[in-house]
Amino acid sequence: MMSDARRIVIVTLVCVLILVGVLIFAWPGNAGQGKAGPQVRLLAHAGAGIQPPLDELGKMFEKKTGVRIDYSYKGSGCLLPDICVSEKGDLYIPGELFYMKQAADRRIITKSRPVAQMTTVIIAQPGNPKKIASLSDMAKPGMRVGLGDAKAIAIGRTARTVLDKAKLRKQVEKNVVMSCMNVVELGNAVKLGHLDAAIVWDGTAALYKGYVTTVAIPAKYSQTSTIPVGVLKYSKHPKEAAQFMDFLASKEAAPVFEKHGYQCCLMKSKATKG
Amino acid sequence: MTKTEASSSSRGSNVGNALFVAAVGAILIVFLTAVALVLLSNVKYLAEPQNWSMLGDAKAKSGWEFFLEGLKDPENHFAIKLSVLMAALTALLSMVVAIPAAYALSRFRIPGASVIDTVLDLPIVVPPPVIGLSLLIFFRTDLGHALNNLTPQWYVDAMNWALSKFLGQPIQDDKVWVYSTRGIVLAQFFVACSFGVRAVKATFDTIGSRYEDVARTLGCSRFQAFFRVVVPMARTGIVAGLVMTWARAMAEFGPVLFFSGATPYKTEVMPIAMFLRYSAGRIEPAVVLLLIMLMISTVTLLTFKKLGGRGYLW
Repeated sequence: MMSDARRIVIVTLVCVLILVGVLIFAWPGNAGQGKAGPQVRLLAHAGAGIQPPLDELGKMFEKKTGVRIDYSYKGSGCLLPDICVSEKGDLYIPGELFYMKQAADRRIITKSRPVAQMTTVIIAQPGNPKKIASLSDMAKPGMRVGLGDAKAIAIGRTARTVLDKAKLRKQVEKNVVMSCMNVVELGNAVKLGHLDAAIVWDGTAALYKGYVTTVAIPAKYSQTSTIPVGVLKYSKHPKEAAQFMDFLASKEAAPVFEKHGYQCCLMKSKATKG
Repeated sequence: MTKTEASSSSRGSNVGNALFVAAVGAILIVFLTAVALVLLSNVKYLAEPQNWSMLGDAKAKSGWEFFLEGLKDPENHFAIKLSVLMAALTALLSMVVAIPAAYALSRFRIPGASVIDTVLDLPIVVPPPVIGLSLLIFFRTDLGHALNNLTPQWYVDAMNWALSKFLGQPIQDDKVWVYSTRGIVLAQFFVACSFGVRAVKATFDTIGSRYEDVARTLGCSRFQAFFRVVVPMARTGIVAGLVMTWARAMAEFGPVLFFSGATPYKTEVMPIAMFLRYSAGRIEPAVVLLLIMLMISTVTLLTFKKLGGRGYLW
């Protein structure tokens, strides 16, 4: 009885030791980084859909200035409640101006500026099997359409503006089978074949380059929106945070945004208070 | 008359028995097939030929390439290491709390025991994000701030040092628990510990108090009786509790998302890593991570079934 227990304990211990040893020593990794003393680190609450350019730009900024950016990614609608409850973080990078206005209303932003622009597009399944070429095709009976939630997320409201302008809102809304809280979910659903079409940002469509069909929306209906960056009043490093904000709006950052399907707004961009 | 009735009824019950066995067996097989199909569909998804690559200029990758890439990805290595470590710490901490707590619950006649029982079961029943949001709100209160300030600096430094060494990434948290790497343990603990208490208490209940009483008549103190008699007898349950809490902690997503955030190379445990890939539209890398989690879970279960043996949990 007792030796049985001892055997189990010993075997478990040996397993744990081997596991820890393997993880520490034999794992391909880059241990021993960051011995150069404490680094300034900024916490940026950012929309999960803008990960690709932000990750890249964060690394560029760290190389340039030594300041590290830790992103806390979530759907843009969840960022503001997060910040308000935790009262932590240096930067706020939601996927759309709409969310920045909410934050400004709550007076938690000290500075903000736009960094990139997005336009509405239609995405359809790879190879466009349902032959979707325009907004009116989304209104055809039997289409499975996805739109963002009408109240909570920016693309939901904007897509409805587009449809209102094209006088197709009622017909298309009849075909809506899925509504979501994060624009990327629409892209995923189209890519996985659960939806025939959805209205998203071109920056979202770029995440699926080669995997979904993108259909442009005529300029008279199409809507444009802006990705803004704001410095939070809770920031412990407001100087560095403002520096990163300016970096995102700089000429250096523009090609990275463009590579990931966004348009840049260098000309309009100027830091505004509040 | 009565004879034929009896024999026909027994024949009938034989057919009924066979039907019953067939039905129960069939349901089991259907369920097993369904689980296997759902899980294996991930492999099929990765293996699907991607012949629509002509649509864009992105180079189509095969599922196997995605899989190999996922195995080599340093961000995934980080996620695996962090998950394994945090879940192990959570499991140990949970057992430190669960063993005495379960013993007290099992042995003492406590007034209002049903209330205590309900509170203990709440984290099991409540949707996990509730725990995360509650923690986030708790750390806003004065008590929460006090807890932040009371956290000894040497502990913070030691954790930062060990985590940086182990993870190969600089971790430099301050005393604040919210959005810190070490805070993941807290987020996991509040859910996992209840599972641990349940598992261990069930064992203590089955052992009963007679053995301790005998040990004490033979000269053991309460303390000795507990460590020399009860704990060794309950080892299967304790191992089962360890596995339960470890597996539960590995699986925890909601509390970590709320309390620690989804920060790459900082609080990126495996479910968070999967969420990050998926919410950047990178479905295949998310599926690869999912398969890795599936493999780790399977190996864990098999290992502990071998180790812990004939416990009541399996």
